[in-house]
Amino acid sequence: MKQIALYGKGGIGKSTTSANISAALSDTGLAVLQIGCDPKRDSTRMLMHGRLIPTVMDQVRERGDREIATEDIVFSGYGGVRCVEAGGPEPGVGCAGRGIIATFQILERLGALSGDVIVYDVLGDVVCGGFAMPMREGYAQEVYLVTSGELMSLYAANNICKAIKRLSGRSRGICRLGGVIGNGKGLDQEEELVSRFAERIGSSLIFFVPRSTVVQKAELHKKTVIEYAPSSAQASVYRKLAENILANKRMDIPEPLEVEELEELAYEFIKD
Amino acid sequence: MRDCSAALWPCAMTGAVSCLTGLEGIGVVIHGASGCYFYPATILRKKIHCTFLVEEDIIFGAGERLRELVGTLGKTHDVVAVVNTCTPAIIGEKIEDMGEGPSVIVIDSPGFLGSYEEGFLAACRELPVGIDPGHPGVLVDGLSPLDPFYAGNCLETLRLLGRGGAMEPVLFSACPYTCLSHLPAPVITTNPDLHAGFGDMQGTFLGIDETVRSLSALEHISDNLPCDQVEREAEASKEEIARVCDKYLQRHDPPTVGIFGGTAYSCFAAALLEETLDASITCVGSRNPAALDPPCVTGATTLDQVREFLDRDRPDLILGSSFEHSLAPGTAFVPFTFPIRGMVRLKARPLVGIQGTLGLIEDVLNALLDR
Amino acid sequence: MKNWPTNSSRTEGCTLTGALSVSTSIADGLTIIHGPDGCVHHNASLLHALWHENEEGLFPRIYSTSMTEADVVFGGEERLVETLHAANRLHPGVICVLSSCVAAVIGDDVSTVCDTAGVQAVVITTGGFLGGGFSRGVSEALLALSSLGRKGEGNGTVNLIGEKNLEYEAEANYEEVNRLLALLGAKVQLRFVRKIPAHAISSLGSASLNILRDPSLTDVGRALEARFKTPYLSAFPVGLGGTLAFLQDVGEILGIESTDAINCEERYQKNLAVSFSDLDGSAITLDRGPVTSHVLIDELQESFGLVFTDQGIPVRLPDPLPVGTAGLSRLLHRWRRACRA
Repeated sequence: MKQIALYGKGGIGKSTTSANISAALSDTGLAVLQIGCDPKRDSTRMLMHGRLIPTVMDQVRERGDREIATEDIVFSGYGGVRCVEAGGPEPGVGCAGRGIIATFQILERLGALSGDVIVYDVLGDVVCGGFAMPMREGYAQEVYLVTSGELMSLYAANNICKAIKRLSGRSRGICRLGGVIGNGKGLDQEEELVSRFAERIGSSLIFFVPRSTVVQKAELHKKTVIEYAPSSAQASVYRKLAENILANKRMDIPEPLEVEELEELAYEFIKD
Repeated sequence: MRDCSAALWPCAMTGAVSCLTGLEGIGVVIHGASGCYFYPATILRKKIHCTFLVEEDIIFGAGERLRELVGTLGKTHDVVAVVNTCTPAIIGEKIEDMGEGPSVIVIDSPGFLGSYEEGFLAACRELPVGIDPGHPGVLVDGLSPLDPFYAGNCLETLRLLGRGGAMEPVLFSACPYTCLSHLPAPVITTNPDLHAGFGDMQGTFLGIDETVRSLSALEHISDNLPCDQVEREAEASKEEIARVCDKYLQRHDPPTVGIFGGTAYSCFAAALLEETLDASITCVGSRNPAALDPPCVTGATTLDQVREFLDRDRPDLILGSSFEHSLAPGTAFVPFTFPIRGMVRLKARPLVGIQGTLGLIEDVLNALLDR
Repeated sequence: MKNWPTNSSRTEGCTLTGALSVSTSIADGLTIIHGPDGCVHHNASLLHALWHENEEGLFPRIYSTSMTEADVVFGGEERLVETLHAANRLHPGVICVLSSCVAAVIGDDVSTVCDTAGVQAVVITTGGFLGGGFSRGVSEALLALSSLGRKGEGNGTVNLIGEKNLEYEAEANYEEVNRLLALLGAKVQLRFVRKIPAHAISSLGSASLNILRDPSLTDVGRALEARFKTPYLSAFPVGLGGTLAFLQDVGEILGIESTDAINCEERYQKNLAVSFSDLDGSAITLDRGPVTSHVLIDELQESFGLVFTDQGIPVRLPDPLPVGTAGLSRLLHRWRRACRA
């Protein structure tokens, strides 16, 4: 079983990327489970044709965690991808990180963490211990950083490297950085920048996903690109990305950059 | 190296709860789990309420649960005080907004913020206090229900100040909540460690001379204070103390004494025993050491620290809690600070005022003679 | 209030207290609480009070990581490492590590810290109230400590699992079970965990029977059975019939003929009925306490002639229920005192 987690700055396109990776993998006949680890619960929405599925935390709230069955929280989406949303409290109350921890305990107890590939789509930044959960306890062994060439996005990715480095230094820490996924925002030399960033942190660029209007169109139709426009160039891009991830054997302990180094790097590319 | 052994003093949350339970008419709510509730509830033996949180409340927010409890208590109380505990404080939920309903005071003194005194004083700061310059009475503060001398100090204070209806003392925290809005300006404290900071300080009641001095300071406020009477009682009591101590010293060497408790109480006891018994104080171990403590005071906040002092000094007499007593079970012991386990204590014992000093000398000599 | 989950008891107390009730009963053990000092004080003071009542003297050996606000914000794992090393310098028989709700909510990774600190420790999953309540703490402590047990062949002895160390009459209950086992010629090998040195736990796997203190420990009984292949009985005996059945069950599992023991105990029970014959016809009213047992009430009616009505002398069934015939006898003495008062 391959377990991958996508981390990156909020709004960078993690959910779109995750859903398309899951869809592409399921097209090859693999059993895929995608878990959205974000209280905003829309990670699997395109796989579910626009439906916001009941979240694990919704079910806990309604019936208590002992009463939950697998079918209450695992829903079948495009291509048989099994979809789970952790969910969480309303914004401004409660503790979302604790909700993620509770979700993992429940999934484990139900034996739901199974299949050929599990894709964890995790909230923007590792703000507290709860959001590091997918990287801990051997859940997500491979972390992929999703970033564009924008400084703030690289900055967030660099921060996540710190968490990976920290967690991988432990005896039970089997979490490693699998690589960097570029998600283009249409900047000049963006792929080169992201690629250089990946090298500098001691990793590699898995694939660069260029910006494309097909993505927005597919979303308007509440579908993944893989489903909405299977013969489009963008669909091929996602398939290639999924293929590279599947084939990837390179696992690194990243060396995060100092803020100044990061800024210098970004500056080089603006200057040119 | 940091001393990791068990802490001998309760947390800020417990201090806040202790302060609030002394105020009649306040419904006190611990916003936390049952584990946080049981200790203050059992050691204070007062009616305390709790939201009894479980994990789900932390994930989804516990506001609704709290609002519901506050609403219920509002039906039977003038005001409800909510004391926050660690985990709800960490997740940072806003608990001030209780919507329509009773008036609510929120005290954000989770345990990790510090010790008992800090929580007690945090609660004081949040209380809606008003000073009424026209109030004919005196405020007596420093009274905490957790203190083994609480009831005794209340009684002795009332006796000293209220004799013949001389003055109307307001005891804090041992008064109706409604008194807080118009407190008298002059203040005497029974325990400087817990001085709430309201009003104008006139002195303390710790020690016989201090008691007389503080009372005379009040003389300009009320002319029918029984100062002469108290002075006569004070003189007679000091003579009695001198007599029994002399008698003890005729047959015995002065004792070596280790004292453990709050800084103010401990310093008072140390000075008293040096003066009356020529005792040699081996250690003034404070549960709440502060930067400005007199040099004789050392921190004794953990079991290993106390053990070290007792092993080093082997005093003839220990004033302290049952922690100290259990570390040196064969040593003469006077219960001086909480917890006091393993013995029955029902009657009110003061530490302040004239009776307080008499009581302490009596306990000390009896403990030494029983050795 | 809408559907709040009911899967955990809100009022049963902290997992820390439950786990400490077990871990501090290892005589040469040391327990670290990863949390603020307040948690340590609350629990240590409580245990100190109860130990005082049971004349066990001193003070539980507990270390604190003394988490402060700064640790809450920046993580408290370094404090735990420091405390583990400080504990290790005392060379305790075993170091147990518990985590508070504060450590759990900020996500400190206690297991990994313990793995990497180079100090051998038994991590007990607690997380303060975030890990459940008191009874969960007890079970988790027993499960975690069972890792110190070595596998072995059943040697005909019995382990007692999860005696209630905070219970006032814990020793009396032990003596009663011991008396019953002696009727069968069986012996207790290990009290897991009550007043034992850490190294004694290694023998956990070599008994032929585990007797759980009560059915709340069934998870523990099952886990020990899976690991050591030791069968278990799910509770100490309660009631007259329950005590006879206990003798029979123990006999069957250990392969001991129990007829003589049962006959002997039956004679004792009949004598008991005679010695309390003055209670025959006494009208009593059972207070609604935390526990009840219809079987026990029926036995009290049948064997002692007690009449349960609404207008009788108020009495209460203790929680936990009295153990064995001797426990029932002490209960009847207290009820007799109430009837005479």
